[in-house]
Amino acid sequence: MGIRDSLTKLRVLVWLSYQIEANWTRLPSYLAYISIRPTFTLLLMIFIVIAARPNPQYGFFILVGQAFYNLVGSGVMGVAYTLWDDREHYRSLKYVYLTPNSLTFYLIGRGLYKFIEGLLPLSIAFFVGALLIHYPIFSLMPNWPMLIANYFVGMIWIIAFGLLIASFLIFTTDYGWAAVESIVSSLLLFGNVIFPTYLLPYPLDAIANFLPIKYWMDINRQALLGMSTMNMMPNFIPLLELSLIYFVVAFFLFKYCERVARSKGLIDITTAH
Amino acid sequence: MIREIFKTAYARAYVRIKGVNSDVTHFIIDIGLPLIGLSAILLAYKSLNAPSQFLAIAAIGGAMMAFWYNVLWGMASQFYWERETGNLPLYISSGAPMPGVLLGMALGGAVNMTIRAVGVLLATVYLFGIKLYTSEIVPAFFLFLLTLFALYSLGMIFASSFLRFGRSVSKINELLGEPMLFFSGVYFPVKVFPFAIQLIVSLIPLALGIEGMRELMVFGNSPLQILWIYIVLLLLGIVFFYIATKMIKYMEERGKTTGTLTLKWE
Amino acid sequence: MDEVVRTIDLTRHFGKMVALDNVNITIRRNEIFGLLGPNGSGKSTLIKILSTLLLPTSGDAYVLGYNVKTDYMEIRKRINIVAGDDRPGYGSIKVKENLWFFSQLYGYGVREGWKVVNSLIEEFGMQDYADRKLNRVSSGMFQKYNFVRGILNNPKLLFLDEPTVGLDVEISREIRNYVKSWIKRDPERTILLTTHYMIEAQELCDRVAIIYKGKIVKVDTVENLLKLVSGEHIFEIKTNFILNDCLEDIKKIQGVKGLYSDSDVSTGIAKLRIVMEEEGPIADILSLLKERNIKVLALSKEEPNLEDVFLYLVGSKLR
Repeated sequence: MGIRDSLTKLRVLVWLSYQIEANWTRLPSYLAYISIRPTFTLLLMIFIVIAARPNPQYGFFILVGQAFYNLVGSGVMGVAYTLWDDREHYRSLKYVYLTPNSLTFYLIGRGLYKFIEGLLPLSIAFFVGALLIHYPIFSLMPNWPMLIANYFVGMIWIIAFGLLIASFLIFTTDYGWAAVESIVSSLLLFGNVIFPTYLLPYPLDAIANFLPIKYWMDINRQALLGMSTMNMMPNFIPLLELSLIYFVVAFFLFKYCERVARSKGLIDITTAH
Repeated sequence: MIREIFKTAYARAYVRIKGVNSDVTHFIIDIGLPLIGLSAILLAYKSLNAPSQFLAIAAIGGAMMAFWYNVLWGMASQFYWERETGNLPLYISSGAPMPGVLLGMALGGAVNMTIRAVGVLLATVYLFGIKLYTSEIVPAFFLFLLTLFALYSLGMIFASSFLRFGRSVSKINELLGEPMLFFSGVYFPVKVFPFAIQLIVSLIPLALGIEGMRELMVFGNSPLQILWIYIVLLLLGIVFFYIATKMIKYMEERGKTTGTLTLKWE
Repeated sequence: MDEVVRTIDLTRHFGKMVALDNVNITIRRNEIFGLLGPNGSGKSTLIKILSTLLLPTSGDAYVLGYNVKTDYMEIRKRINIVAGDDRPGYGSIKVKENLWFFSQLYGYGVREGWKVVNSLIEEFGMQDYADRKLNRVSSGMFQKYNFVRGILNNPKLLFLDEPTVGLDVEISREIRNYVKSWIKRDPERTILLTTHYMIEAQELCDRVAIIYKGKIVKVDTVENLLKLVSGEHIFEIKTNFILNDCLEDIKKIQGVKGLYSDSDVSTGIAKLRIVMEEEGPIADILSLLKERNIKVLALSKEEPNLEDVFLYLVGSKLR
C-alpha cells in the first residue's frame, strides 16, 4: 500500500468515524455535545482549586492537565472502542477484517478522528477554566512549535495505549469497558494530570516515570508558558523514547493477539445480543 | 396490577443483582475503578494543602457519584441498549407492566450500587485516614434511602424516553453526566456556588443527598438542622415517581405510533 | 487455475471438540459448490478457515493457490462473504455510503468507488432506498445491500453463507437469480454456498459436499447424488401426533433405510419421510401405525431430493 493510497484510506476512515459520531444531529449541536462533557469535567477539577485554595499557579496546573487529559481519554477510546463497537454493535468487524487491510491500520485510522475532534473541547474547556480561575491566558506566549510537536507525539503514545487495550478486547466481550476505564483512570492517577506525581506514595510514584503522559503533560504546561525548546528537552527526550517504545510494543502485541484471536476463532465473537 | 408490578420488579431486580454479583471480578472492578479516580481527586486536595475536611467531602461525593452513573448508564442507557439488542420488544410483548421492569432495574441497581458505594467509602477512609462522624448513622441511612428514591425515580423518567426516542436521547443522556456531577458538587461543597445557583441545585436529588450526608457525617450536625433536605427529597421522589409512571405509558404509546419502539441500530 | 479451493487433511479442534476432521475437498473454477450439513456439522468452521477468519489446527488449505495460514492478505483481496444471518454495516449512514465505505477498503479510488457503487445500485434496482439510512431498510432490502457489498471487490471466490435465510420467497428467488447471473458473467468467479434450503442447493449448485460431524461424507454433482437414492422408494406419510418410540420402531422394520419426521404444532399433524429399499415394508409401517392407534391422514410416493440423499447417507435428517 503506497503512501497516497494509505492517506486516501485514512481520510475515509476518519470520515466514517465522523459520520458515525456526528450525523445524528446538526453540526452546531454536535459541536456543543462534544464540548459540554469535557468542559464540565474540567470545571469539576477547577472547583477543587476554587473551593480549597484559590491559587492561579496551581489552577493552571490542573487546567492544563485536565484539558489535555480529555484528549488522552478520547484518543485511547477512539482506537479501542472502534474494535468493540464494530464487532458488537455494527457487526462489521468481520467484514472489515476480511478486506485486504491491516486491522491495526484500520483502528488507528478510525481513532485519528478523535484527535481532530478533541481539539475543540480541549480549547473550550481551557478557556472557560482559565476565565474561572482568572488566569491571564492572553498574556501567555506559547512555544507553538513545541506545543504542536507535542500534540503529534501525544498521538503516538495515546494510540499505543489504545492498541494495548484493543489487544485485550480482541479476546473478550466481557470486562471490555473495565479495561478501557481502568487504563484511562490510571493515567489520571499516575499521569501528572491534576497533581504532581511526587505526591504519590512510594513505590507508586516510580510508575509515573515510565509513563509518557508524565512528560507529555509537563511539556504542554511548559510550552504554554513559553519555555524555550532547549529547556524542554529533559522532558521531550524521555517522552519521545517512551512513546516509540510503547508504540512498537503495542503494535507487535496487537499483531500477535490478532493472530492468536484468529487461531482461536475469536475475530467475530459477540455477546448474546 | 400493583402485585404484577412488584412481581415484575422482583424478577428484573433479581436478574440484575444476581447477574452482577455472581461474578466477583465485576465487584472488584466496580470498587477499584472509582477508587482510582477518587484517589486522584484526594491527592489533588493534598497537593493544595487543603484542610482534611475536604478529603471527607470528596470521599462522600465520590462514593455517592456511583448512583448517578448507575441511573444514567445502568438504567437509562441500559434501556436504550435493551432496545438495540432486541430485549425491549420482548418485555413489551410479554405483557409485563413496564413500570415494573423499570422499578426492577432501579431496585437492582440501587442494591448493587449501595454495596459498591460503601466499599469505595470504606476504602478511601482507610487509605487516606479520613475521619467521619458515625453518631448519626441511622438518620444518614434514611437520608440515603430518600436520595435513592428521588434519584431512581428520575432515572425511570430518563429510561422511559427510550421507548420513544433513540440515539439522540442517548446522547442527551450522556450529556447529563458531568454537568449533574458538577452542580451536585461531588468533589467540593456546593457553597462555593453563588446563592442563586445553590437554590437551583437544591432541586437535584444527588446534590441534596450528598449535602445532607456531609452535614451529618463530615460536620457532625444533627438531622433536625437539615430537616428541609429530608422534606425536599421526599417531595422530589414522589413527584418524579408520579411523572415516571405517566411518562412510561405516554412514551410507549408514542413509540408504537411512530414505529420507533423497535427501531434498532441507529 | 482450475482449483480455486483445495484442502488437505484440514482439521480444526475447539478444545476437545473436533469441528473439522481431515477434510479434503477441491472446488473448481466457476462452479457453485454447495456445503450441506446440519447445524454444528462443521460448515461454518470450514468457511471461517477458507475465508481467513480462523486458523486450522492441522492440515492445509489453499484458496486461489494461496495458503490460508500465511498468504491471507492475498486471499482477502480476492474473496468476500455474504452471510444471511449477519447485518454488517453502519446503521447511522446511508445504504450507498456504507457501500462506498467498503469500496474504499477494497482500494477503489474515491470517485471510482462512487462510480462502482452507483452502477451496482442501478443494476440491482436499489435506487429507491440507496439514500436511506441502513437501519431503516427492510430485511429484503438489507440482504440485497449485503449481496452488493459482497461483490463490490469483484471477488474470485464468494462465500454465500445461508444467503436467503429468513427472506420471503420472492426476494429469495431474486437473490438466487443474481447469484446465477453473477457467476455466469465471468468464468473466473466461483461460489461456495451453504444453505438449509434444498431447493436452493438443487437449483444453484453444480456440486455438493455433504458434511456431517466434521467429516465430508460425499462430494458429487447434484444429479449424481440424487442417483444414489433413485433406486430407493420415498414415501411421505401424514399422521396425527406421533411419539418418538413409534418412530424408533419404524426404523427397525426391515428395508427402512432412513426416516425423519416434522411436526406442525399448530395443526398437530406429523409428516414422516421414509427412504426404503423396496416398497414392501410400507404395509408393515401402516399396520404398525394402526396398532398404535395413529391415524394416517395421507400417504404419497415422492420424488427424491437432497434431503433424502442426506438421510440415506447419514441416517438422520439435515435440519
